[in-house]
Amino acid sequence: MSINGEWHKSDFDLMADKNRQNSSNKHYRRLLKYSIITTTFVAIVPLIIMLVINYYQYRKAYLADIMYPISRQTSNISSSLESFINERRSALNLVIREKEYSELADKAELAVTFKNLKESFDGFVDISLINSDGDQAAYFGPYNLEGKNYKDQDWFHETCIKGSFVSDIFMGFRGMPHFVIAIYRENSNGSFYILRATIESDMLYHKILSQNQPVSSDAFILNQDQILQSPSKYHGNILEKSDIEVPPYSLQTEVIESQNNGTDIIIGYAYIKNTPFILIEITNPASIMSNWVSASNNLLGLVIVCIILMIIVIVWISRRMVSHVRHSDMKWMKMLSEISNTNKMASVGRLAAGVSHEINNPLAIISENAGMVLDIMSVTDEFQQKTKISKHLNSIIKAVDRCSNITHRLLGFAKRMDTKTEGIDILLLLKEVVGFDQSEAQNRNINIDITGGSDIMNIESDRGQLQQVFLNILNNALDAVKSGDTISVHIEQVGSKFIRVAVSDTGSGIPKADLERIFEPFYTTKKENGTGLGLSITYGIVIKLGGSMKVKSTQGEGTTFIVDLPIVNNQK
Amino acid sequence: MSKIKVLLVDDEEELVFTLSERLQFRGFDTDAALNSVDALRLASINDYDVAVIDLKLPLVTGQDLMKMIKHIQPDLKIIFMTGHCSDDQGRKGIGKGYFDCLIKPIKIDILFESIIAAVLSYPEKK
Repeated sequence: MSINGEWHKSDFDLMADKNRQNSSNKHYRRLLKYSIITTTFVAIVPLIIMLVINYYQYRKAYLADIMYPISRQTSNISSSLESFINERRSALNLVIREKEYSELADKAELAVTFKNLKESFDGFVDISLINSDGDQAAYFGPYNLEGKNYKDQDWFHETCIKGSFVSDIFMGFRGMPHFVIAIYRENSNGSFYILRATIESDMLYHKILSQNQPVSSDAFILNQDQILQSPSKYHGNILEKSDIEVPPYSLQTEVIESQNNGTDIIIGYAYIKNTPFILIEITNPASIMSNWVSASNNLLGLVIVCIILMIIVIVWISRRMVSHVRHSDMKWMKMLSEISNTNKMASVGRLAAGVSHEINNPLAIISENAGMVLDIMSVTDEFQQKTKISKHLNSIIKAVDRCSNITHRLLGFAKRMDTKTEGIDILLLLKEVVGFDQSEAQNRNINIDITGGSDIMNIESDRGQLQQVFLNILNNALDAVKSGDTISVHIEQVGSKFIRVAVSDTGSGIPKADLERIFEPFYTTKKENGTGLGLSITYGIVIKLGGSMKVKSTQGEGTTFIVDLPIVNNQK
Repeated sequence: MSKIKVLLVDDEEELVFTLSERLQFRGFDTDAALNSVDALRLASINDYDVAVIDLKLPLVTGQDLMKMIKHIQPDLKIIFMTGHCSDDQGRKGIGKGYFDCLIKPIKIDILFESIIAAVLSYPEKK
């Protein structure tokens, strides 16, 4: 609805302007959409951010909880490994410091030494003495390796440079994994020799690597070339290349997250000092994390339920809000249009008063002069064209009458209406009004029925003005019907505050286009017979009396004017 | 029986003289005034039976003129002409002391009847 629409527009449902309504519907749909989207965004985004932050922080804390025991376990094993190797290296060191080359070169003496060693420490398999030329000077052990030369071998040089050497694991003659510890000593005369012992590594695995291992984790030893130095549960056999890459060098125990065959793993590792060995402990976090995963899944589910509930509530609230806005907009529009109606009435009134008054004088002059000519002619003898002239003069006077009729009605329209309130029996009043028209109705064989209203109490209103209202409506109805038709007047109470008078005729009805403008001043369909003021004056009076007026019409079936009047008039 | 004497007051020259002439046709003795000064002058010279006065005059209103004329001729019957009031309610605003109020444009027959009625309303007259 628009402010500059027809001033009575709000009273007519049937005049709904489809286009305008569509565009306003679109406006409210857009408002609803924006409201829902904005509210949802504002409500849900922080929730999601919180959820994500929570996910990562919680995961980090959980991982830290997991990593600490792994780190400890790895440290424990690595120090056990280190001390295992150190013990044996120290023992050999002791032997090489205690005994001269000549003593060790003696095979019997070497055998005694080996026996002593073996009694103190597990794992010694054989022992050999190598001179500075790389020749094996003496050997005690299960295999006869005497006379072998090691001069070109890497470990020989490394031992010479570093003073001691621990070899990678290799398969011995009996198919058992071994490693070698070699110790270097320099004589006072500048020559040197090396004491080399082979140590079985099998017990290393059984005693050290497998201690306190949970099923889900896997501890093994790797060398720099990614070759397994011990058997592993899930990552290959001894002396095979492992699928775990060599982790970066570090002085202490480290725990890192990594990926293996598409699954997350946690690797704890430690480089064993002065050996080629890297202790690796692999834990599959999935089993440990399962608690956490199910907890976070529960949280996610809860959040999703919350979001769905939130959206439902948001949609519901937004719809209510928009419909409320729409309702108050419509009320506001209606109010505006009523205000503009009132203004329109007032300005039309002022204009009408001014114009009528100014026009009445010239009208009087025309009328008097024409009358004067007629007067003169009435006392004059017959002359040519006398009848024709008097006929034309009479039509001038008639036209003046019509004009003055209009100006008088306009003055009625403009007149300030001081409503005086009294108790009125509406049924009686309508009977009186019908009485005015009764003779005309009887002449034309038109029946006027009054129904209802016998139980309706008196209403507070202005008698004269109500008479004017119903006389006008009734006259309109009389103009619309043919001989033999019926006009029915029905009175009923509407709610607790209003009574309704409906005047229906079975006339020709009003076309829709006219219906929209029927209450506008100067709008008439009666051509020269109407001033177009009757219904607008009627409408104005009804509004003034605190009531409302509507018209319903179907072409070919008839018209009903509905006047609602307040039982108690508050518009004083 | 002497003629009924009527004083017409209206600022519309064409209207007042035509009206005057038409009333003379109908056997009245009429004088016309275009303003209240002329009207008062005429009223002080002649005895009138009826004065027909436009409510809207220059300088003074019809009501004021009525009061002034009644100082000179207290028994004079006054008929107002107006372009403004259209029914009983409108007439109430004019005040008392007048005989009739007619709405412009006035039909000559109605004016005639009103003047006759005014004259007849004198208690004892010619």
